[in-house]
Order: sequence, then C-alpha cells, then structure tokens
Amino acid sequence: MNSLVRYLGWRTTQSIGVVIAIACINFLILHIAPGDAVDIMAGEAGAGDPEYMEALRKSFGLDQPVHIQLFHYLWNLFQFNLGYSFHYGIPVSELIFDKLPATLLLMVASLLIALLGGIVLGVTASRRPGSIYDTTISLVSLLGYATPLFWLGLMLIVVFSLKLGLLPSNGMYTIGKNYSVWGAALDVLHHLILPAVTLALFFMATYTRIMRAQMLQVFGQEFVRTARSKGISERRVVYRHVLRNAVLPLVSLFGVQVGGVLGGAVVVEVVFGWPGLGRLAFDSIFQRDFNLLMGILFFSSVLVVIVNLLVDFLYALLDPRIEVVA
Amino acid sequence: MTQKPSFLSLLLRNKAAAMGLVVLAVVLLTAIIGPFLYQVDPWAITGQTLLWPGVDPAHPLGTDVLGRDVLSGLISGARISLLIGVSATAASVMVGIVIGGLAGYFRGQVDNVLMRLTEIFQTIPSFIFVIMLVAVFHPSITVVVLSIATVSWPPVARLVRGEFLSLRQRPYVQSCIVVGMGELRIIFTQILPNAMAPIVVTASIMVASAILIEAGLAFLGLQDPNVMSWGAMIGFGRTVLRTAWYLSAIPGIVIFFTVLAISLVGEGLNDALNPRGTGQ
Amino acid sequence: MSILKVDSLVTELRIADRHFPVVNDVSFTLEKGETLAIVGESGCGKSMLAMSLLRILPEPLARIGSGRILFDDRDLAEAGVDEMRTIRGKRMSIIFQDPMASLNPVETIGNQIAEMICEHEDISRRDARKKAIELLRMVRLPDAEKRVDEYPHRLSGGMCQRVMIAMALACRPEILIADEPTTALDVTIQAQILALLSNLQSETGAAVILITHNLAIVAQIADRLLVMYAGEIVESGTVASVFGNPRHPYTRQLIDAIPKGTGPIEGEIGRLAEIRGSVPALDQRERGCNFSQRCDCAVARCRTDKPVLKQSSGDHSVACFVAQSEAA
Repeated sequence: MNSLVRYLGWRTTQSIGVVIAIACINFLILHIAPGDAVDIMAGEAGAGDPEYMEALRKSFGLDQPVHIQLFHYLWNLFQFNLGYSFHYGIPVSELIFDKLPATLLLMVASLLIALLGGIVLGVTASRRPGSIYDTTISLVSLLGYATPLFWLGLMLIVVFSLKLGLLPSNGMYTIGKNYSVWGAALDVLHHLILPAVTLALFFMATYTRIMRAQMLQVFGQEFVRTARSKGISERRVVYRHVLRNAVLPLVSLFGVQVGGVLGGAVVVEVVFGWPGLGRLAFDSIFQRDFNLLMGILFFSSVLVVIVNLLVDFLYALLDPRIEVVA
Repeated sequence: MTQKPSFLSLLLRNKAAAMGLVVLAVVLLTAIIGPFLYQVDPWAITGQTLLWPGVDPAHPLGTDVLGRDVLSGLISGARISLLIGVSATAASVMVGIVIGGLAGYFRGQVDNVLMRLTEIFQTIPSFIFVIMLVAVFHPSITVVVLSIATVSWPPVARLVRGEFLSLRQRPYVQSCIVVGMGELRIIFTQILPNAMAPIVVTASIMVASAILIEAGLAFLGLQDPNVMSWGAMIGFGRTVLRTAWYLSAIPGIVIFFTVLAISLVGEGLNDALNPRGTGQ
Repeated sequence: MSILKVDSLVTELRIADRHFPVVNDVSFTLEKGETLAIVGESGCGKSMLAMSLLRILPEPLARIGSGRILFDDRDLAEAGVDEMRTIRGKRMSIIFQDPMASLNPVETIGNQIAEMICEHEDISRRDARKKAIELLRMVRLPDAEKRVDEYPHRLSGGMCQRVMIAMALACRPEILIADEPTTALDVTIQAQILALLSNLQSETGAAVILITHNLAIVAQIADRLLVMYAGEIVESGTVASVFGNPRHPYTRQLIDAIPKGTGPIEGEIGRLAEIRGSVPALDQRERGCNFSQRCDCAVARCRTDKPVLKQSSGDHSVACFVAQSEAA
C-alpha cells in the first residue's frame, strides 16, 4: 500500500512537470507569433480596448524580461487563472467549465459506444479468423480509418435527419419545449445519438483491430486450455478468461486516444452544433479570441494528462501482475 | 499458437495493396496532368448553380452554390491534398529522425530530455494544437504544412530512437566505432540506411493522416482562402446539405478513397519490408 | 476393472488443408486406480493424445479423425459439448507442463479453484472458497489461508503446480492426466511434486495417466507404460516387464539413454547413449515402420510393411517385426 502511494505521488509529480512544459510551449507560441502577446490575444479582435489591453500587459508584465513574463504566466496558470475572454468578457475558466459537461457527455457516450462496439466486433472477428465475419469486420474497421470524421457526420445527417427524419441534427435540446426532468434527459439523449455515434465510429475501428489481435493472442495461451479442461462453458472461457486478459491493453489505448477524441470532438461539435468545448474553440478562432483558444488548448492538455494518470492507476488495479515499483 | 494469416488473407492483402496503388496512381495523375486536360478554373462562376452531377456534360460532376464546377475543384483539391500530405510528412519525418536519432544514438541525458519533449508533444491534443497554430499564424499552405508537421513528428521520433538504440548495438556499427569512424558518418552511412524500412512504412501512413488533418482544417475554414481543397468543398456544401448533399458527398468520397489507398499501400509496404512485424 | 478404453484412436492435425495423423491408431485400456505412463520423445503425439481424451484439442487446427474413447460405455469421441462438460474437471482432469502459464494471470488462485468446484457441485461461493483452502492444504501449499487470494505470478513454479493439482483433484475425478507435470520444474521440486502426486493418488484412488519423456520417473511411480513413437504405440506392458525385457529397439535405446548411477555429481558417468536422428516429420511418414530410419536392426520388411502391436507374453506387447520373429 505504501508503495502504491509513493507510485501515485511519483506519477503525479511527473504529470505536473508535463503540464508546466505544455504551459511553456503555449508561452513560446505567443512569443514567436507575429506581434506582441497582447496583440495576439486580444488586439486582433479589431476592437482592442486600450484599457483592457493595458491591464493585460501589466498582468503579463510585458515590459519585463522574458523569464519574468514566463514566471507570471505560469503563476497565473497555477491559480487556474486562464485570463479573460475578450469576446465574452468573462474569465476563460468560467467559460470552459460552462461548456465542459456537454463535451464530457459527448466523449463518454462515444467512448462507451466505441468500446462496446470494438469489443463485440473484435471478439466476433477473433472467434473464427479468416471467416466471412472476420473479413467483413476487418474491412469495415479499415474503412473507419479512412473516413473523414466531419464528412461521416454530414452523411449521417443526410440519411437520418434529412431523409428519414429520425434524429435531430443540431444542438443539444429541442428549443422552445418544456419537458419534465426525464423528458429533458430523453431529449438530450435523442440529440446525442448522431454526434456520439459519429465520434465513436472513428475510434471503434482502432478498438476492433486491437481487440481482435489481442483475443487471438490470448486464445493461444495455455491457461485457456486449462479453463477448457475445467468443464466450464465456452462462453465462460471466452468472456471470463480470454476477454478479461485481452481487454487490458484497450485500457491503456484509451489513455493514448483521449487527445484524439478531444480533437475529434471539435469537428463533431461544429458539425452537429453541440454546445461544448470544441464548438467554443471553433467560435473563438473566428472571434480571434486567442486567449480563450489558448485556454482551451491548455485545459484539454491537462485533461489528457489527468486521464492518462487515471488510466495508469486503473491499469494497476486491473492487472495484478503490475507490481508497483517504488 | 501464433497468428498465422491464411493464404487467402495474404493474397487479399497484397491484392488490396495493388488496388491501393492503382487508386493512388489515378489521384497522382489527376493532380499532375488533370489541370491541363480539364481546363476549368475551380473558382470561375459559370452561371448555373447547384447543378446535379450528370445533368450537364459541360459540368460532369455538377456545380456548387455559386455555380463553380465541382470536377475542377476536385482536381485542384488533389494537388493540394497530395502536396500538403507529402510535404507535412517529409517535414515531420525529418524532425523525427533528428530528434529520435540523437536520442537513440547518444542515449543518457540527451535521450532523457528529448524523449520527455516527445512525450509532451504527444500529450497536447494534436488537432486542437494544429487549429491553434494555424489560427495564430494565419492560414496559408506553408503554415498548414508546418503546423501539421509540428504535431506529427513524435511517433517518428520514438520509432527512430528505438531503431537507433538497437542498431547501435549491432556488431558492424560497433566495429565502425572501434576503427574510429566519425559519428556523423556512422549515423548517415551505417545506422540510418538500415532504419529506413520502418520509417518508410510509418511515413506512408502519416501521409494519409496528414491529408485527413488538412481536410478537417479546410472544412473548419482554416485553410488558405485562395486554395480550393476537398475539405473546403465539403464545408461549402454543408449549407445546402438538404437540397444538394452531393456537394459534400463527392469530395468526401474522394478523400476516403485516397486515404484508404494510401493506407493499403502502407500496409503492403509493411508486409513487404518487415515481414516479422504485424504493424501494430 | 478398466475405466477407460481407447480404441483405434486417430487424431489429426490440419496443415495447409491437409490432415496428418499425429495420434495414429492408438488403443489401450486404463485400469481403475493404476498409474499408466505414456513415454516418448517430444513430438511423438503424447500431449495430443492427452488433449484428445478430454476433447480440448486446439480446434480447428486439430481434431479427432476416428476411433473411440470409451468411458463408462460412453464414447467420448462422439459425445456432445454439454456431455463433455460434465466429464471435464469432474470425472477426468488434467495438469500441464508449464504451471505458471497454465493459470489465468488476472484471477486469484482461490477463484480459479473455486470456479472448478462451483461448475460441478451445488455449493455456495463461500463454501467453495473454504473447500479451495482445504484443497490447498491437501497439496501442502504453505499458508493456504493467505495464499488463496494470491495471483499466480506471486507463486513459484512448484507452488503453481501444487495449485494445478489441487484444482485438478477438486472434484475427486476418476482419472487424472498429468502431462509432463515436472518437466518445467527444478530438480528438487520435481521429486516433491511426484511424491505428492502418488500420495494423493493412493488417497483419492484416481487412475493417473502420466505423460513424460523421463523414464526415471516412470520407473519410480508407474504401474504400466506405453511407449509411443511418431503417433503410434510401439510397446506396452508392466513397468517390470518392459524395463526388465525391452523388446522394441526404440524402447531399448530409450532405456540406454537413462543416466545410470546416482547422478552427475558422483564422478564420471559413462557417455550416455543417444538415439541418433529425430522423429520423422509429419509429411515424411511413409509406409513401413516409422522407426526403421533410425533403427539398428531394421530388415527389408520394416521399410515396406507396418508392424502391428502384438502380445508377446502376458501383458507385454510390441510392434516390431524383428522382436516378434525373435519371440516366435
């Protein structure tokens, strides 16, 4: 237990280092970008409010040497002060936390779909390698790689919203309707289907492939033979013994993919008008609200770091072979 | 029991790679000689708007909201996609070789620092990073290429580092060190040529993903406004999705086939160049 | 009284859409409570035979081609999946060569034993766990109460094999198949495991099929033995008669290859006889005796006709033209 705590501490320290380094990269970009950092962050909106810019310059200490500026920048970030959004006139962190739940909902939903779909398809494909199921599934997952996410979303809208009229194509709620709590939840769910499936399809391809390869590898291991020799059902052999071992790498794959899912969420939120962080980032580009954009980038990097930290701990919990080395 | 691909799947895969090569050749030819064979300006407004494909022989794939010819847009897009895909990959492979090579050859502290750096770049969500870079530095082809390269090099660096670490231990490299050959010479004449096969495989897959990233940028309006690219065409068509969905569908299908073709060729290369690996 | 009768069993391996027999026309009986050893070099089909009996062959790579496996007058070669499940583990169980790899790495050993018990007995999880602890004590795993919640990677190879034995004997099977149970273990541990096996056998009365390439072990604990070569039985009989009077040239060479004396530490031991060559590959087995290419006393007939297993005296049978003509 003691060693687990130490491991936890060590990984957390390491993660904080990564976050600081990312902040430095942000700072660097602001510095090598054309114009002064405040110009970049606020001025380009065209309506550079001199008072605000002066305040920003002062808070950044732009008259001071670079390393002092960096220190100020980091100190602000440390207090989770991501600055003000020029366009909205409220703190960036407030905006982010306002939009975060929608994005998290989208990500979690699509992750569940991708994970479930990937496991089911991967297991099915691995049960009879070389069969027609296997070939079809491999082909479909190859297609998943090659399809641009936003295009897939648009085509789903054409089919399910415009032609069949089954699912809403825009937003998160039906505007102008008063629902009960359950009704509202169902309404959100209804709006969630298309964007979540779009985002999921892309990642499902990877999960399916990895899952298939893992299952085949585990099927060849000796403990599976032991399991069969016990007289338990083949279903139990597959799900209890093989799947549990094969699914572990998927957990770490998830950590690797979080960044990709966040990037995909930007496109999907734009296509489906989903009011989340991605949509906020997209809007900030055209409002030239770089402070906000920078804040979202930083925040999503931190999110990736946190998720990876959680994945590490989860893995250590799931796989008893991982002895925590202090 | 090792995973043995059946004869059929091997055949299918090679067939798939061959098919990919054919599709890729078509796209390449279109990009190179298309503009000479089909001399229509993709930006020219022809007067007939929202013409469906196959209606007017003068515009085989129809026209868009403003009456611009779709086929000429696709031809222009092929140039842009391939140009950006290849140059962004070339740039990131170069960065990856330098960083991974230094880390793998010199090991120790150099390795430590460079790999931390690689890790950090891998942590930042790459698509959001690209968006920010392009937005801050203003969209232009150069900026798009460099931005994509900035987020794409880490996997190459890791791969090159691994290859260098293992190749460095090989007897022929060790004997070069013993006879006092210069370090740069060892790297360029002994190690790098032997590490090329996996780099080429990775690079081919990266071209595909660079094309997808560019399409996403252009779709979001983050591409040079004077460039007609596939992603941008899908973006233009989005506003009339209900009545003219073909405007978004056609460029997407073209992207799909191009990316698929490149991936298939990449997998074929992988099978041919390192038969031991499974490409995971 | 025999409890298992194997009759002309053929097990085939599928390679590139061709079927090769890896167990070829094997017949034998297993008596209640006895220890029957099956010996032979690696690749002679011993393990395939073991997996055939329990029908846990790696399908579709391998399958039973023909023959019968009579257990209680039921033909296991024909038995349905559900029927086999009531036999596996409950009436016939198996332990394997590599105990570490044979246990599921992400499941506690207690759970793995309990899974076996719960599958075949109407018992609560709690009682199954209690029983698992008892079984671990029975196989003399130290600290059974604590170790029951350990994962396999925390145990040594010898301990894992004890766990495997505990699991295999959990439902008091009538037959225990031990497929090279000590090969992967240290020499000192080997003796302990063997002693444990034969003790438990006399306690539970189970018949044991011991598969091994090690004749020294056979001499120690087996009652009868079958010598297998290239998928076929070439000699069978009681340990006393086969060791005392080996008839088949292959058996003789196997016995000559046993290190004599007390061990390599005690001075010089003579150069060990080795059997030259190796078991012919599956696609190189032709008509005639499979051993003829490596045999010192092969005659012309050995290369054209296949010798069949014939009783020579009492329980002792041999499949060799030369040996059979000597006896006649």
